[in-house]
Formats: sequence, C-alpha cells, structure tokens
Amino acid sequence: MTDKLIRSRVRRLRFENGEMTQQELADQVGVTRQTIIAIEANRYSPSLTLAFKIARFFGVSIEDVFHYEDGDAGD
Amino acid sequence: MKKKYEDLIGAFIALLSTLVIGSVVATSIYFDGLCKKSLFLMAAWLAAVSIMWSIPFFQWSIPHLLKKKSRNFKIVVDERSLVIFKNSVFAAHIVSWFYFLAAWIVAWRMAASDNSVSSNLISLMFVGWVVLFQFAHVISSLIQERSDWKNDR
Repeated sequence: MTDKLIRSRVRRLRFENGEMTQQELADQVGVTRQTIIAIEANRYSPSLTLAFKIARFFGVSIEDVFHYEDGDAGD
Repeated sequence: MKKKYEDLIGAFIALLSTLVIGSVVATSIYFDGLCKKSLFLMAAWLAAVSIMWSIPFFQWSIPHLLKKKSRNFKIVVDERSLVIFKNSVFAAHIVSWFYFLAAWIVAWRMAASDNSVSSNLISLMFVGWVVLFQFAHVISSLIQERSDWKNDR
C-alpha cells in the first residue's frame, strides 16, 4: 500500500484554498477522508482518474499536485 | 467515531460472529453428523456470512450510483478500500491453500486402521476454511488500515 516514490502537495493546496478540510476535499472528488489522509501522508498513490480529479478541482496541472521521486525502481 | 474504532469494532463483530456461529455449526456436525439440524445451521451461518460479505459491495455501489443524481451521498467505500479489499482477499486465498494442505495431512494421519475417515470430515474442513478465510481477510485489512490510523486526527 505504501509508495514512497510518489509525493503529493495535496495538503498544501488544501490550505491554500481556504483552509479546506480533508472531508470537504474528499466529498468533492468522491472518495473517503481516509483516502485523502493516506494520499497526504504519501502512503497511497491514487489512480490516474482520482489524480486528475484532484488536480482539476484545484485548477492546477497534475504535475503541480503529484511528483515522482527517483528511487531504486528504475529502468 | 474515529475510523480506528470503527475498523476495530467492525473487525471484532465480524470475527466473533464467524467464530462463535462457526463453532456451533462445527459442534453440531461433530456430534450429530450431517443431519437436518446441522445442515440448517450451516445454511443459516453461510447466509449470514454472505450478507456480511455483500455489505461492502452495496456500500460501494449504491452511493456511486445515486451520487449521479445527488451529490449529498457520502462515499464509504472508494478505490483505496477496493485495493485493501483485494489485497486482503489475496492474503486469505494464500492462507486457505496452506490450511487445506495442513488439513489433508492431518486427515491422512488420522485415518483409522481400516483406512477410513469420518464422513463429517469434509464438512468440518469447510467450516474451518470459512472461519480461517474470514480471520485472514479481517486481520489483513486491519494491518493495511492501521498504517493510516495515526494520521487520522
């Protein structure tokens, strides 16, 4: 379940958008609050659909929300 | 209520009901054999387990279907829940195969001098499998959920 290679800025974006709560964001993108918690703690990598929903909700590109860190798993 | 307590209470109820009722069914089969009473108990128990297993499906499907009509429905089971569920079923599946291997070895060792085994053996093994599958599934789900409890404030 953990994926330390993908980092998110969801928490920062949430606070920059009127200090939105995790529950409010979860309701907007159609997931549970626990999923938002896991994403912010970098313990869960969302699906592409969810990642795009979150980025679209904040009005930013997906790269502004999620970024991939170079790790041991490389080609 | 915090998600941690919801998860623990749900797990406790699922495990307790499966174990207690499963024990009643196993005891009935052991002492009475495969009669109407034990078969009825087994059918009722399996019906209860089936309902328990179908609850996450309806928790997932109904809000998603109704959310198209109204955005007020709160999502309870989402994509992460499904990932956890699939991982738990996979873990329970592996445990099941080891259980069957062990059960057959025990049955083989317990065979009577005339190489016969009780006809209740299959039924008892089936009951044991359902209980073990449930245990493995619930414990695996708790382990995956547990990592996010400390961040749930």
